[in-house]
Amino acid sequence: MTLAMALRAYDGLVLATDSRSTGGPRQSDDTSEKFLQVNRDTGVMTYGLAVPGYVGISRLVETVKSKREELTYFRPIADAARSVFQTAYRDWLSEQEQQGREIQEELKVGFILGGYDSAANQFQISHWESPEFKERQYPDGDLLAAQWHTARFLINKLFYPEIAVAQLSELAVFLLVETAVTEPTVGGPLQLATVTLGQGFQRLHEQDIDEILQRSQRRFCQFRKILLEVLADQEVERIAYPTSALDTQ
Amino acid sequence: MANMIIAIQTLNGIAVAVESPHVAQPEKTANIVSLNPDTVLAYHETLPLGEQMVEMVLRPQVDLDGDIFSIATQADHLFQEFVEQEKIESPIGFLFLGYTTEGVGTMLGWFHAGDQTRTTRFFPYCTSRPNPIVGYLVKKLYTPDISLIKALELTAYAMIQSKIVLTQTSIIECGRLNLAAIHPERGFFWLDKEATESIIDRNEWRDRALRIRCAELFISESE
Repeated sequence: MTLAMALRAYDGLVLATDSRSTGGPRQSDDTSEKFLQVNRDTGVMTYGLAVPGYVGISRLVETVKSKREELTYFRPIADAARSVFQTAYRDWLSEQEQQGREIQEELKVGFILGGYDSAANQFQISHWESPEFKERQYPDGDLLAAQWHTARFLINKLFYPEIAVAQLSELAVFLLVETAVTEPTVGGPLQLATVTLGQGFQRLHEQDIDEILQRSQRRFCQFRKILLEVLADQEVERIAYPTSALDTQ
Repeated sequence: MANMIIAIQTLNGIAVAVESPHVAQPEKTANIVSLNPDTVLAYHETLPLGEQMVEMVLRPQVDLDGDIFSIATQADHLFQEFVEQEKIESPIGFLFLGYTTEGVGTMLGWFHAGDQTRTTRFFPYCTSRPNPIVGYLVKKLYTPDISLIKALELTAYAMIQSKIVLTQTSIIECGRLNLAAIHPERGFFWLDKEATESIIDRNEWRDRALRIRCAELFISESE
């Protein structure tokens, strides 16, 4: 599993994921490459089964490079992506079958394409998941995939629609770290990219992510403090809970 | 319908939140039964099957005067036999919550799904199904000295937030969040409607306070 996110800011997108892969021969590995740039304005991410995932995103990049004139804008790339991802998955599946390995139904691979569609003048997010690989588009909202539950809970509290890409990148790091502390299948170095009109797809370097992590230390403590204070808030108790209905003595 | 159950163990009791939104079974005792003053059994997943196993297997065949370990051990064996004999494929889960004769709070789970059956011991919290939201909130907010009332508020908050995140609004639509506690001296009791509503109200204030206090969390000091 992993946590993969395509988040929508007021001025662009943030794509973010961890780098842990689980279920392989070493059970847990933090070296999985889940992220590639497709062209100036678009990036692709994968989650779930690591091998067909990486093959799928690599093949999409190769396909776009080899058909530059046809696959310039987001929509044609998204239309081509389904068969690329499906083929990568089927190839891997038949290889596993040939080797006599049984694949559990719940093991899935997913792909997220995020970018700026200059034909439509919009930021776009699309998503495919095995076994059907039916495309789902997110024209207004964001997408959280795989181990998404904790991040969704936090987004409900922390996101605001006016947020800019710079702040949203910090929120993405916050969500990944907070999820990683309670989910053993999420972890390892964080991978992050932004897509903006002016800069296109920009992958954040390890050093940039480290700096966000350093800046976030205070935020992690503040958030925990707020949670604890809110749970123990005497003022809230006085207003909303005047009687001792729970006196167990 | 898979009913959600959340329980948190504290020094002065076990806090329990039970979702009973089933329109056909609106009574709040639909999926939790008291076995003796120190032990309750909550069942989830396939409620009529749970009820059948309690009435046909557990009550007639298990010595319910024993402590929670003795009851759970006997039930484990009998439930296992029952699902094998009846070839039960539907998922069914039980949570035993209560106190040993030494007064130690304990939570044990038994879960059957098709060909798999497992027994688990929980501390400090348990849920009827794995629930990352509850896991996260307990990790952030649980302390070993948490009081029973705070634990009840935490179970209620976790239940409501889980429902919102998992976009299962049944609990809100049906208004059937039930809270209960197992106290080492008082035994098992349901919170009355007023106390439950009071906790829900308080959590609404809390959630708003949380949002307000987090509003500037992502603005750096230089901004």
